[in-house]
Amino acid sequence: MYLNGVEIEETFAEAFTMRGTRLTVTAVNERWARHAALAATGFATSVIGCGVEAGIEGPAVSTPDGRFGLDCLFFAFSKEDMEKHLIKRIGQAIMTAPTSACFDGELPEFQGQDDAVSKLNIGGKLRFFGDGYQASKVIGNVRYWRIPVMEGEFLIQEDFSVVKGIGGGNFLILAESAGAALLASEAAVEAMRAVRGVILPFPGGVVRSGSQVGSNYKFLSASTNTAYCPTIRGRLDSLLPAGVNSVLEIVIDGLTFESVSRAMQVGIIAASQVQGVKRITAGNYGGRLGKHHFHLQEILR
Amino acid sequence: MKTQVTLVLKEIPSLPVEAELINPENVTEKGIPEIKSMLLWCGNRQERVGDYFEVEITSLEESKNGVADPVLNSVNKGEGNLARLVLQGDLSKFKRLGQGMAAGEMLIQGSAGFHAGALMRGGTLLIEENAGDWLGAHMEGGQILVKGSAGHFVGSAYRGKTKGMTGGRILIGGDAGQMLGARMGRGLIAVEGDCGDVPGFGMMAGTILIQGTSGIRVGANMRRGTVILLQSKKLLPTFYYNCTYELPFWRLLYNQLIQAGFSLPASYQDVSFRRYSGDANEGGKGEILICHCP
Repeated sequence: MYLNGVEIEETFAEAFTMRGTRLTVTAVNERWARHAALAATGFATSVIGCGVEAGIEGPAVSTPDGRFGLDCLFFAFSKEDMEKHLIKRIGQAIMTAPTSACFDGELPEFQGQDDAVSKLNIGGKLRFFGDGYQASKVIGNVRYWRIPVMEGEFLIQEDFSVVKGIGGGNFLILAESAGAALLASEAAVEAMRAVRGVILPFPGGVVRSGSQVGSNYKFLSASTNTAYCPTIRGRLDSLLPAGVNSVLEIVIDGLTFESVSRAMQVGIIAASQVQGVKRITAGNYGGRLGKHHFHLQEILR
Repeated sequence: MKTQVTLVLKEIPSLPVEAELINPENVTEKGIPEIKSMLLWCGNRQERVGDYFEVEITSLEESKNGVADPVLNSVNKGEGNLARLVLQGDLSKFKRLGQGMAAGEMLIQGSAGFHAGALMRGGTLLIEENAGDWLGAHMEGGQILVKGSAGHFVGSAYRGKTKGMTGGRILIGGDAGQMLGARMGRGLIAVEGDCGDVPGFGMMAGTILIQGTSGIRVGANMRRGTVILLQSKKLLPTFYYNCTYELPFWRLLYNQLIQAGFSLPASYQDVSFRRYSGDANEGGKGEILICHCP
């Protein structure tokens, strides 16, 4: 299949079930909301190395306190991991940011599916930072914790909703030059940012060092994706077609199969319109490891 | 099909009537004769609903001239097939209306007597005129909306009891009497008008908001909880000043009150509060927040 002259390989991206949650971070203005959200979602590119994958989804449509807010998505392997990392990240990155408050994003995508949504008590654990001077306030059946801080008071919701999401949706852009690959990636990321319910956890939404499972070294569980590294093409069984000199990957985590699928669709279409892109493919493990398969050609149909 | 049961008062009784059986659950799926035969007590005399009220039952779709209150309609989705109960007339002599109700909607088109909505666990009670003393005493859930004024001891604990209201919310469009929310442990009481002496006496948790002026000794003996005063007030010396700041949860509370139909001017949306802790005689974990209007 060809799209805008770019070959779309008949393959699929293999993704995994992860636990996902949405946080809404508000502050007195966009500047401070963004400071808090960026810090909270920083160094959260890969669950393997960072324990959690996170990113800013976009501006919140509405916030409980009526201030500017940013929705952030977090993905972890288990509820326990999620709890551990949220407590750390909210405590160290959001509570510390002046004027910030933190609310459950409530996951309206799962409205009416009560069985699919579970709760994590985050605010109720962070409250102990208040050293006994914390107080709670129930407003509209929702409990919030008020933690005294030097600036005034940090407000955080007690419970956060967690669902089964999807981590590891991906596609690879194979281009004739590094410049073309980067331009195509930027175009893809810009298009995908408009899709709600997904994040692109890597820097700028792009990965240049995609990995493969296993390594020649016993102490490593993952290593560089040798089959797609152009500089060693001649030394191994490369998967790079002739004329391809650079590859970049886009990794997508999302709350639902549909949102990941939609993001991949708009991203691939945008990337295919950039001059110099030769082929678009996806990473998988032969379908043996991940439950969710995103077939590129089906997505584009 | 959801029905509306309307009780129209024939004549104002000369003596108080104990009417705790009158609530939405007790009139649902009953015919007019059954409803008329429900028992009431007047002094030491046992009487019946039919002695005081005319009873009408209509399907809700037909009762276009009945309850069309947007507040009721907005908060009672999912209340199943419980009948909507409407009482018409001056019911200030009828005590315990809606007492212990757990669900449904009850509209009093007139005034209600003492103990209305006491021990209430759920649903909505709307009183279009005034309510007597002990409104929502020991209330556990649901909401009470009073368009007029309420008497003393709103949401309070009865004599000898240690904890009053433990949940739900009471919104009063007019004034409230003394001892508002005395010993309350959770829930929300908001008063658009003025309030009598000692609001929040001995409260243990929850929130009281008074938009108008309040009487003396606000929060006396309070152990925890929040009293919010939108008008300035001199406090007891056992409350000590902490700071003036923008209260993070105020916007949430403000929005909730506005959505519930409570009238709060937009100028109160972005205000600072002076925070006082007290009552120092009781550990000082309570707070009084006084609007710091420039």
